[in-house]
Amino acid sequence: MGPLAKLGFNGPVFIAQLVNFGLLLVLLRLFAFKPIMKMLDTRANKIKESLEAGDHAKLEAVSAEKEIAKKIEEASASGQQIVGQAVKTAEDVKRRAAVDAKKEADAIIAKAQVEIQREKQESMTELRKEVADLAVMVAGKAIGTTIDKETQRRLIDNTLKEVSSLK
Amino acid sequence: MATKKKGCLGCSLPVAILVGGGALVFLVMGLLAGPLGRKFNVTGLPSWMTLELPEPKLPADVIFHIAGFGVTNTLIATWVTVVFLVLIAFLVARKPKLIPGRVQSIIESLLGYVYDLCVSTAGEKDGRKFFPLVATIFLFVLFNALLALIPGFGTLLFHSGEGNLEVLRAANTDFNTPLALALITFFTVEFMGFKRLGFGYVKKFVTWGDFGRAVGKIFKGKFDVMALLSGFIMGIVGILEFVSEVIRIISLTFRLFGNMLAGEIVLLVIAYVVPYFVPLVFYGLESFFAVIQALIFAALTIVYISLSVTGHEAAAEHH
Repeated sequence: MGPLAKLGFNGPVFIAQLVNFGLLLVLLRLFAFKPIMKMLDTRANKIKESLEAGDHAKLEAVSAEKEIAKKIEEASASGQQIVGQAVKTAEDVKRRAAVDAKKEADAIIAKAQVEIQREKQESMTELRKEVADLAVMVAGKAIGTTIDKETQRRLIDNTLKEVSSLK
Repeated sequence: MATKKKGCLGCSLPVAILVGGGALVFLVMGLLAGPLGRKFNVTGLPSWMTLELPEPKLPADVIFHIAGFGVTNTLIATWVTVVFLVLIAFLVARKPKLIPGRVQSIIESLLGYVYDLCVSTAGEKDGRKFFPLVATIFLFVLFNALLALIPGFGTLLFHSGEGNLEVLRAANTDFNTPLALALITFFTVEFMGFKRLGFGYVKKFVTWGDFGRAVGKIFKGKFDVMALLSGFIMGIVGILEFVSEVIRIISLTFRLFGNMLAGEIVLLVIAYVVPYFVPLVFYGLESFFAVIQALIFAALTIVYISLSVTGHEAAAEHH
């Protein structure tokens, strides 16, 4: 017995073990490693995809949130602007109304004054005329003669001038 | 003593006392039934309690012949392992689900561990390529050793003209199996190195170029002692490289063979010395060694392969 045989070396068994191992390798590769590796890869891809989708969704949510915040800000700003404008308009209207009222009042006053003035003037003129007529009449009476129309006219005018210069 | 077990076992007090007491009874029984009891002439024990002195033998027993081919018990155990692994693969792993069940999770984590080992050692591409071989070695060595620890594995006897023979014996306790595994690893390593690097791979072993050039210079009248010497040393290094490569067969074979055989013998002897309770501890140890040996063999395989396919120059640059 050689030293290898003493250890238990046995040619046919050795070859059988080589074959057995090869067989096991082929069968396990076929039934276990290939499908499991494929599945693990699929799973890894799927997980990666879901993670990426999650990240994407998160980003989207953040951007949507930003959008909403922006919109709210915009709305608030525009609301404020509208209110501001309304206030301004109201103020304007108020001021204009005041101005208008004052103007009207002034106009009324001015008109009244003009009217008064005119009326005064009118009365003055009337008065003068009356005075002139009276004077002519008195003068006529005093002279005792009637004065023809033209002379009378001239006299009146002269008197009127005098009266107006008297004032 | 029994109450001390309360903490480590995590049982309630009565259960702990029961377990501890039971263990103590078995221990005493084991001591009495073993050679110690025989020494003190303890008689009256039933015959089934004592064990015969085991006779470990290196060559595996031939159980039956098929056309002149002696089928050994280790060969039968190999077939059992192969059938077991293929059956599990066929039942569970053939159509793996994306969301794994319990058994699939176990197989996945086991294979995932080996896969990570391959990829971290040989890189993504080579790791994937050699994963089937490494994983097969791992699973075969592991489950071959673990199946041998199942009660009844070594006690199934076959009556023949040569006495009672065990029908099953862990395949790696037979010199032929580790040798076959080691040679498969060796030839894969050499073949892959040669295939990947071509004749550049052989350059690793034949490193007499510098020496040749130095000798050539002598004929031109330039006698450079240093060049001659360093060339000679380079040549020797090549030889050492070759020897270390071949020695791997022996180291791989005998590491696995020795560990597995020693484990079996330890279990047999301990079962003879103290038949009860104490062998339990060694069963735990042996299942641990099974994992370790499977891992070592698989890890060395992928390390050797990755060393041979990276090439000497690339490896030197890497460091």
